[in-house]
Amino acid sequence: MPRIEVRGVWNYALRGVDLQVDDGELMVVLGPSGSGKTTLLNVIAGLTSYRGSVLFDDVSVDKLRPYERDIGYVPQDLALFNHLRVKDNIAFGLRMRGVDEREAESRALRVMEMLGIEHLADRYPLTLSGGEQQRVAIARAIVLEPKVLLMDEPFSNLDVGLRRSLRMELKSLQRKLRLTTIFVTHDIAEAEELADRIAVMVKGRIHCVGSFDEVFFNSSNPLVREVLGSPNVLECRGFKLVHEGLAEVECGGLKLLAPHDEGVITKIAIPPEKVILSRELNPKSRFNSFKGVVKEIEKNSSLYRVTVEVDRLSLCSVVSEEEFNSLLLKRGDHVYVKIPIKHIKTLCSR
Amino acid sequence: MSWYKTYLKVEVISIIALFAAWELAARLSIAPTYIFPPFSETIKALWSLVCSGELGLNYLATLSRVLIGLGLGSSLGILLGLAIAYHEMTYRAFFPIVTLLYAVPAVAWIPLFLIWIGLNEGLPIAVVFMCSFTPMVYVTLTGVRSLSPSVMKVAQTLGARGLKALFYVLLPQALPSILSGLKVEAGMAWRSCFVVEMIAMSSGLGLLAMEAQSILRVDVILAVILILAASNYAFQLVFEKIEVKMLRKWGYSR
Repeated sequence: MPRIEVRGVWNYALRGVDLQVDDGELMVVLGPSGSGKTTLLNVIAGLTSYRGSVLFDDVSVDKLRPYERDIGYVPQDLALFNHLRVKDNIAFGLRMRGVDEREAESRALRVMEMLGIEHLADRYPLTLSGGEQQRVAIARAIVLEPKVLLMDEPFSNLDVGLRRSLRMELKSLQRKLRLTTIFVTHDIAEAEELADRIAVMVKGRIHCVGSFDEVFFNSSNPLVREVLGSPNVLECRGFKLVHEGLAEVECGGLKLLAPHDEGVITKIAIPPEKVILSRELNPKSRFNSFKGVVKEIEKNSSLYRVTVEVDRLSLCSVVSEEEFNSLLLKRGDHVYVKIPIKHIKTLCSR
Repeated sequence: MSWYKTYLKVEVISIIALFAAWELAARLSIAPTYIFPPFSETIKALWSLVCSGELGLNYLATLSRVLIGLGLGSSLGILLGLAIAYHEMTYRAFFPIVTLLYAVPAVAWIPLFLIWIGLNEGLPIAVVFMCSFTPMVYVTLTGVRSLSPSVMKVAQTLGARGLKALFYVLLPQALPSILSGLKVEAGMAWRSCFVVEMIAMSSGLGLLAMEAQSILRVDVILAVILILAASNYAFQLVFEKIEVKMLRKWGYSR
């Protein structure tokens, strides 16, 4: 499987995109809707016009048409052919390329077995469940043994549990086939779970590329931080193991309990919507609770963004309008901030 | 399925009730029988038309005009619709023209075709053709355009281009809308053919009705109307059966 390179690509939605995806890598392109993620996939697939260059293994494919580029494409709505049985959906590409009928059937069957959908071979797409449709779409894309698999938020219409199991399946399939994959999403959890590396895309540009942790904990670019949910990132010192799986760290003067796996915790992050504010200290769970002063209140549609200063440290919390009204907060008020352990993400060094 | 059976029964009962009401109203002598004959008299007139062979010949004339006009018009309409829908440029160039033509009722072509074609078999066929051609172009066009654009994108990456994409992907995907269009246009074909025959033809159901009018045979007129309505309904039923069967097989919920 080849290395994919996108060099200085411009068009109606992209503003000079550079991206390199290594051989066999799963690259997640993370960005809000309208950021140009889908257009980037269409450029790589040759489905839309662009200036700049796309290279597969250092060879330009700009002049090649979509079917000559050897790509597998799974769009957001899957675009299954409703008039064809599952097996014919999957064998469609092989037949279009004039592959011998018996070979087409056996190759389609092999891929169906790989994805565990051989029992659905004679069904029509609209009679399948969401998860089954996903597998058919993936099977149809990989049966041609493409050089690169392009996936455009394929799991966005599924419920949370199914998304997780499909993600794991996709990841192991991708590993097994060493399939260079570009996966587009706006879901941070999806990016974290799937990505070898992520590229954060905002307004037609890629602003940051790296492993999820690198980008999540280290990026200072406000656009990138916003895409990642503007987490509170705290530098930590004084690591001490309290219990198996639990450590005490000192972050900006606060002593915090944080989940621990291995290594020394150097940074922790907590999403602002998980930071709990209260007027009173809950006597039953005092740990990770700190008294602070409200520094700033910002209203954003029905959510309030409250910045609280605790010992020279600024922590952000996002609360709903209802919650905000029950707290009756104003600038300068004293308030308790609680950081729940289960929502803390940690960055560790070995 | 039991609901289907009940539904059918209700349908039959409602039609029988209509005929019974008709019979009763006429027997109550609201108007003289020659102005408003009862249902039974109409059936008698129908039977004598059948026996004399008059109905058979004229019915065949109308049926063949409808079949030829509808067959040619809808198949060419579907093909042209697909061709226009295939490219963004052809779509943008032709869609306004198609929409304009779509707005013209088929019978509006009659005066023009009387001059261009004259009083011959070509006339009703041409009118029926127009009555199915432009609507089918329109229905096919909008059917294809309403498909998700990613269907074509995926088809392209899989190697379906040109005619292959047209016939293996676009046409079958647009079939549900095409079939529901056909269902409507089949009815329209009967109506416009009838009108042409009334005005300008020397055979057909339309002619039968006009002849009966000239000798004040209301029972014959009503018999012809019954036949026309039944044929129209039968055509629609056939297309609906095909539509339902196909959509159910593909798993569309209705």
